Amino acid sequence: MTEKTFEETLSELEAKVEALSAGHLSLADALRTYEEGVALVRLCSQRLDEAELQVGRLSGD
Amino acid sequence: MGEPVQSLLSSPGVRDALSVSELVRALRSIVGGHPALTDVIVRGEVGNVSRPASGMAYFTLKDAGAQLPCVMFRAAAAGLRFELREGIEVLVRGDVDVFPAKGQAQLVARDVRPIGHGAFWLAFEQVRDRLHGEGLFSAERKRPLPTFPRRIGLVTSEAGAAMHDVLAVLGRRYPLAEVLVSPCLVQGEGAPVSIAGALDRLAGRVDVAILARGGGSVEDLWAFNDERVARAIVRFPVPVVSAVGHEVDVTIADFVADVRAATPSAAAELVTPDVAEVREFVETARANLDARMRGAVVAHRARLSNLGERLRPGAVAGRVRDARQRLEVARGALGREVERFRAGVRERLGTIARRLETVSPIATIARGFAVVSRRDGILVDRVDAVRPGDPIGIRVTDGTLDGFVWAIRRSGT
Repeated sequence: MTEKTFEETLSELEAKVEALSAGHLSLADALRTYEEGVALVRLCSQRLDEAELQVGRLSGD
Repeated sequence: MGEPVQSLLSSPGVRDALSVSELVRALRSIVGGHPALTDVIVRGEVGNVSRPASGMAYFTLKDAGAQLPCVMFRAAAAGLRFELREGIEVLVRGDVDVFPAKGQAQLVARDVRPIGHGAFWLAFEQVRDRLHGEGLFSAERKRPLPTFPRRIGLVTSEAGAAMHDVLAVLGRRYPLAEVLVSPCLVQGEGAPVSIAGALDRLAGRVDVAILARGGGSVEDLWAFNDERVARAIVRFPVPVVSAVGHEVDVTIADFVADVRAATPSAAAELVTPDVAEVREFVETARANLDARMRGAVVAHRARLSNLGERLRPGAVAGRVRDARQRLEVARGALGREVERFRAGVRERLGTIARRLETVSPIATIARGFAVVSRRDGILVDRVDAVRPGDPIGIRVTDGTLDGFVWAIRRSGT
């Protein structure tokens, strides 16, 4: 499985917040969305904590 | 001299005549290398420029009263930092020589410099005007930078401070990114080709690229005014941020880049979100999630209590009461109907009763007649029904008279 990019994770989180804001979810769906959202928040925070700039080099011709 | 041509041709001069080549060679030997015609600096206006594929450059140098053909050999022509154009004032340094094929004196130019503007500025203007004419500086061409770049390309010299500045800022601001350094020469003869190549190699591998070089003289930064660099930026598939020299230095690369940064560090800041802001974004999302969830719970609770309200015993009793009331109303209506029916019947009954009365014998009695009956109840309607001495009852309106038959008389006899 390819890891989601940070941006994808962020957009997913945004989508969860949006879905919850729209307010037409059933209570069960809302709870599930909320829990998924919280998991994404945790994932984002973790990745921010662990991130370290990776530097690569392209060789010339 | 009145001598005919004939005599000149027939004279011994024919044998002594020079060939054209000999004469031109003689001319050349005098002109070429003559101190007054060697390493001269001439001022004039450029005309009739021709740049054939050979790499040579031909033009004429002229003033109001004269003109002189000029030639630049390939090596010298390649060193020109501006485009030779008709009408520009130049200083040409070179040697006068004779071109045998044409028998013409010409100036072999080693260097040409524009007067007034300076070569750099003139070349700058020329490239700028050309690219501008193609619409390559237009605002519509500028692409927006990605908000969260995954891979950032960095085209710069590995020896320069610019690379360290950029990497330091990127590491601090947005360590989530990956940086791909594409090293190149940033000054000197080979720099334009090197820069363009380094950019081209990054194409398709990054979301955004930074083209950086630390400060330097106009000559040091010259490669970034090169048209080849400009075109490499133009064809780069994703946005390019230029950061060449200090804030005051403006290069052609800055004009064609999608964004111009004042310095390499500023470029690094432009292409990345601040990790602190990202954290804030995540925190905000978290807070929103909580708020929305609470909202959802409150909304569902409200719906629930609304439903409960409709199910409350009192509400049921009310509906029973309603039903009962409707029943009462119906019942009342029914009662009234029954009553009305009854009244109708009663009325008809009365009518019948009254009619009955009119035909009743009682009524006859009331008019003064009486009814006579025997003890056994049989009505006495003829004299033969009784014998003298028989008890009889005589019924009148308000009672009965008891008596005996006294005598019998027959009517008509």
